[in-house]
Amino acid sequence: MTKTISILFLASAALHAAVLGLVSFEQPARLQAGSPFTVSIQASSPASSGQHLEALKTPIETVTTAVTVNDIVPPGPVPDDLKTPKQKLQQQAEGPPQPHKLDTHRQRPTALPEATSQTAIKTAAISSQHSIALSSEQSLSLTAKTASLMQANLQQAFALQFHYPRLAIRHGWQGEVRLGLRIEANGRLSRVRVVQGSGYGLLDDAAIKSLNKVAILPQAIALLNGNSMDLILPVRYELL
Amino acid sequence: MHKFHKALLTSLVLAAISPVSADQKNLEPVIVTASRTVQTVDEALAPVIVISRDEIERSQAVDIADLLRFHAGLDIARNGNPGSVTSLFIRGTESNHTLVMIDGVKINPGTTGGAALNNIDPEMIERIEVVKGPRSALYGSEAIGGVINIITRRAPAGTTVDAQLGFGADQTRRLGAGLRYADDRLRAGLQFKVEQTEGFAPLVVSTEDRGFENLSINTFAGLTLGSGTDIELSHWQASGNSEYVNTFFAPYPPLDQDFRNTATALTFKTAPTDNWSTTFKLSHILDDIQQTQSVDYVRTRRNVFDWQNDIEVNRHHLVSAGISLSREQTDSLSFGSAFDVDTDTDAVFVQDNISYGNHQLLLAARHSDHSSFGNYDTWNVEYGYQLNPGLRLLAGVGTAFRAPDSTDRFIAFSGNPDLEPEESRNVELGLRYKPDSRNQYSLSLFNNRIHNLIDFDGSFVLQNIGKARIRGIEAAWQYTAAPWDIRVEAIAQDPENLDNDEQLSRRAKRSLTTAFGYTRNNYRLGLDILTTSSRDNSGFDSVRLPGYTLANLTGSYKLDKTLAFNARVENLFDKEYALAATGAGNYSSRDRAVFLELRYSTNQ
Repeated sequence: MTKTISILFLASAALHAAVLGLVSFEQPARLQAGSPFTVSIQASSPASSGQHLEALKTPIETVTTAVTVNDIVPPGPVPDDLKTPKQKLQQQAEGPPQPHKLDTHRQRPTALPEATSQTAIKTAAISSQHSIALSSEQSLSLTAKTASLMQANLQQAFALQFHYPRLAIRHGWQGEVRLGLRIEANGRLSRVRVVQGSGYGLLDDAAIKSLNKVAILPQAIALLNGNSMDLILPVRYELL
Repeated sequence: MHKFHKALLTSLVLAAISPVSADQKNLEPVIVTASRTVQTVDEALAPVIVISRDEIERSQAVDIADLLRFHAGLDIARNGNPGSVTSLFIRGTESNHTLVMIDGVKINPGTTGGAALNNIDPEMIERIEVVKGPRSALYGSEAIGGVINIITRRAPAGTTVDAQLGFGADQTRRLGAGLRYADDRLRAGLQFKVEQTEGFAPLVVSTEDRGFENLSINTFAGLTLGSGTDIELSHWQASGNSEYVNTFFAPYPPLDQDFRNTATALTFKTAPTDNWSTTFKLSHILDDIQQTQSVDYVRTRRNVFDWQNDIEVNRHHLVSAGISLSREQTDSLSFGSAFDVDTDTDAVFVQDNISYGNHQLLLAARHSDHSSFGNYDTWNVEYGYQLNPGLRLLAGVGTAFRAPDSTDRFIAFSGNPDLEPEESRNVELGLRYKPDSRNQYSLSLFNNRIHNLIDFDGSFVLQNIGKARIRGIEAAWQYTAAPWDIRVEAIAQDPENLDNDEQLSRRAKRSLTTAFGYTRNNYRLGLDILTTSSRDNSGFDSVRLPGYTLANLTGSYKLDKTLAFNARVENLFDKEYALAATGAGNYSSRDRAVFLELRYSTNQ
């Protein structure tokens, strides 16, 4: 009897081996899907993930389309702070792109157990250059692609800031909170507030706290040209 | 600080102000998503099996035991035909060491053995969650081997209608229908299903077919009042008749019994503050069996009041605390001997689910006060470490207990009123590895020691004789990449009675399950294979139940958006095998059998 069982197990094992051989030729996907316990962040554009993958494959081609800041900055006095991003951009436009250098130490997945942080940071770094290219007239032809690229970047960037409160996950709380914010001329975020609540104080609170972590946006200074700007940022909490 | 986040927020701002942006002021929404957690709370650090609605529908199983058995570590024993007594052994523990809940309401009878898995129709079910390992700190008595939470079907948004019609071997007929509605505030649903079969002869030596009839109903109505306030009334029931034979003497005269199982709950949830949710639940269960040829019956009625609070103290601590007050009444008349026992169990519990970066820690403790057995404290400590985005390491220690049921204590002949509760301590190590989106691996090592095991010791009176130790290793691999989905699970375990060094009854030492699925366009093929090694039948005999391989083939074809045709071949290789034996020899199992089913759903 033991022999029969052994044979059965061997046969079963052989079957498994056959199956393994059958399917293992396929390459594993580069991006990981969320596991049951992952908090993942997604941009709203349905095309974003596809575009995002495409961008990953061809970073060099897209980076070389970056233009000089001269095209972006409107006439008028230029604050001193502006020079840094400008110089950076020029360097990047001249030399070969080195997208992976930006802040790679932030790759540690602090609050996200199984987030795809490796991939996330990589693309974020690449496209932070692109995003500046976007407002240039020269790059307008690329805007569609770049815009969706940015959506993908946002998806990754906010993954590191926003989190879904665990109590809300346990009880199935979902909703959209609309945050108001002002970006001051000096790049600082101010007047961060809830314009319209989600119905759950916990979600509203989490959204405010997350946005407050992004205290200043130096890159915005050049673009605001001494003005401030009021914006509405909707944050949608969804359970899948 | 977060330099590159700022860069990205800048890009967001630029997107908003650039000519391509539709709205100068409104940014594109940021969407924060998370997977709905398994409802059996705090499973994250314990080994879990989730059986989805998809898997349930594809299997076309008659009862949930037929679903569970295709997962390694979940052994079943069955006294023959559909509807007959069916036991489940999780990881080699006893059949009454598994706590079974329907929508969080415990349905284990207080009279005997485990929950009536044979009466639970899969058509009522959205999802089954099996958590292996001791869970008494969270759920109280019985959770030595694990917990099964059966989540009944709820309403997707809008109105949905479904219907099923099926025929098959042994004159099996099934008919079911459901109607559900949900909007932002209101939800309601009603589902029913009739399953009828002429069955087959339960014993290898008996000749008369014994059938089964089961009418299942699940209904609910709920109202969401916003901001975390919600009220719901739900009711599940299964009732019918199951036929069996008197196994004591030939020619095994036919017998039958009427059964009725219900679980009803009224749940009220509200959030007194932003970070505090409080849930009140009043529930009632009935487990009733009436023997038709005599006045014998067995009945459990139980009312439970649960109050649970979940507080997100901060981002790192999610604390739960509450009380559970159970009032149970069991009565029975069996072979002229009667008992009527009231059991009160009051419990208070607290747990902290702690999350710091890559570290997760669960601390849980429960104090139970049992009207017959006094105080019992149980606890769990579980730890998880996310080594890298794909790999998580797990470790846990937990204790559990099971209070002897009324049958253990008072049944004619074998009952022993002096029995003490069984106690267990389990140590567990595990890992979960998800290298990519297609593959998922898991590995668990466990060592579960049970003291005061209740068993027979040669005489026919139950005693706290046993010390048992169940050591084991479980491994699983799951592969998902269209058109294939494959699942392989294996367990090697040693369920040993330490007093006499014998293998515990009816548990296999090794089992292997595989599930292959192939989905393309509008059809799907599935092959489930279960291989299990031999088992000892019982302490009273020296019967060895041989190992077996069982294969089920399923196919599904979508005729259009609403109609699907399903077919199933059970026991494809027509293997003769036994899941249990009695003095009259082996109980029989189903030969090769074919079932066909037509399903209609507005929500496919």
